[in-house]
Amino acid sequence: MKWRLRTILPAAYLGVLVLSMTLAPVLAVHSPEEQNRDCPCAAPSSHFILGTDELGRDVWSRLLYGGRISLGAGFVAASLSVGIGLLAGAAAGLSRGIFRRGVLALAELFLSVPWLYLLLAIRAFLPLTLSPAQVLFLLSAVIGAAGWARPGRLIAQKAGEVREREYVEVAESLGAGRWHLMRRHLMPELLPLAVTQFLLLLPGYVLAEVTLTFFGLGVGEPAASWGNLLAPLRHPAAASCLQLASPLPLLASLVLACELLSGDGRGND
Amino acid sequence: MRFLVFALRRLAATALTLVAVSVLSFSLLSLAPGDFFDDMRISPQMTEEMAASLKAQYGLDRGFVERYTAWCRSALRGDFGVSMAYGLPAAEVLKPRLKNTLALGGLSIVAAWLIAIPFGFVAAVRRGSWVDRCVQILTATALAFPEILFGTLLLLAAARFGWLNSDVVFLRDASMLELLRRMVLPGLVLAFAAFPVIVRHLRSALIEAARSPFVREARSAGIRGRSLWLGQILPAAANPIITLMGLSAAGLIGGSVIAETLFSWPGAGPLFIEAITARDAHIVLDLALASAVLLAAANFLSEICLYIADPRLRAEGGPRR
Repeated sequence: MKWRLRTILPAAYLGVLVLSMTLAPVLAVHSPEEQNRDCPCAAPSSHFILGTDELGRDVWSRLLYGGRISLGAGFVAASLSVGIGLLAGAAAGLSRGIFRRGVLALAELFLSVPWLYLLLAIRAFLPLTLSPAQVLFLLSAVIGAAGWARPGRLIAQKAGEVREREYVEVAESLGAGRWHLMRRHLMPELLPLAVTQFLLLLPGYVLAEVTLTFFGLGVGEPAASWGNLLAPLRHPAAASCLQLASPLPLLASLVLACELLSGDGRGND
Repeated sequence: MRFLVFALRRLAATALTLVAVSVLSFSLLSLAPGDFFDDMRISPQMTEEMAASLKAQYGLDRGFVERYTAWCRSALRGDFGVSMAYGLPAAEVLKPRLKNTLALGGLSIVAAWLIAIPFGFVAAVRRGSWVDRCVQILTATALAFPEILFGTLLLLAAARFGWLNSDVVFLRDASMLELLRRMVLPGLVLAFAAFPVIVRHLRSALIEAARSPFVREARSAGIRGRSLWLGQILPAAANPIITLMGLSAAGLIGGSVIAETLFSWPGAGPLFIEAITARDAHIVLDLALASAVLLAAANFLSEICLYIADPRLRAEGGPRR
């Protein structure tokens, strides 16, 4: 990876995003859940930097705290997917025969399940009384566990490829154990792939949380998430409350940043 | 004959996957606590006994295997279970919704391909030029707005400029023109999401094919321009393009939940969200399965097309997985 502007800029953007979400309690002036019923949908001012929503809550604070939830869900889920994928893929790549075929077949099955549908379904059949933290944890766990197949299959392919190389075969014939092969020969090749996969999955997973919450199936009010910040926009009456759309540019640039970063890892033609 | 064997083998694998998906979905759904009648108990008229008897009537009190086989039997009869919210066989509730979803999805995927093909072609033919650069920037920008983002933006714009229909028209009474008019906004969301992916894959598939030695040979033999690109390079690039067609059809399914619900298109998407909030189990299961069927069908069709289009695969006895 070369240090070019198209690498630095998106990386810096991701850094700023993560940093400002971590520092949310410092950066937010108002509580994200405090309602000021006397000034709903107020325009941006010196008091409310980004204005208020339809219940008079400070949009700037909700954006920061909501980002914690939406980005957090994405990070946890993507790490989980890539983690499982890396383990399963490397193990499948190292072994030949039935285990390898089993993992690949399982990946095939997971890829043929429409996960948005199942995700919605799983969420729906959970008790409605869960706290936002529990919902968040469950959602990211389900999203993450469901998505292992794509990175897993790629990593298994690469691992199989690396295993066929001569120096690996030599190492093996010299008596190198599985653990040594994994650590010295496989991981250096697989880790960059895993990072690229993480960057490819991250925006989709953040958007999955946003989508579920947008349709009222994710993290519930009053907790802030980018999804329920956007949710009032479903009703045309809220269209004048433009500050509610503030997560849109952030999300779009998140997708773009990850796209640029992962594109660099893959090597563009 | 070999073709038939190949097709049958793929068909069997597809059917097996579908059975696996149905078992998986069913067990995930039954792992989760709560059912349709748990929410009804909030009503004061609903006593414990009434809920229990209703549950017994719909067979919700029975074990997992029994419920699954009951659903299977009903599926074989063509009913696909019962919608508890509508009090009808699930198939009757699903049929018009799925028809609407397929119409919307089909039209928008065709539109997306028709728009994307010239872009992908031009970018590949003029690789590295400013035209290519522009197409790259365009697709990168479009990629940054997946369904949920572009849909919300479009909804905002529609509300502001008054593009939304406030008049209530039942779709079965609506004229063809009215139907098309209502499809425009949700269709735009679906097509917009599919467009950049198609352009990129088309471009890279064509460029990949254009690099192969036989194209260099053809060039040196004096074949140039249209006959080179359409006669030599396109057939060689057909393989990844056909695979993409299957994939892009499958991608529409997930997106249609978002697009249809945002713009109130009476397809399967809004029904799905409705069924989820009402915990209408069979409808949820059927729709999850329906989209798996669509995905599998798209994959199956694209594999058959691949087999027909690519002589290299025929020689090896079917696409490698």
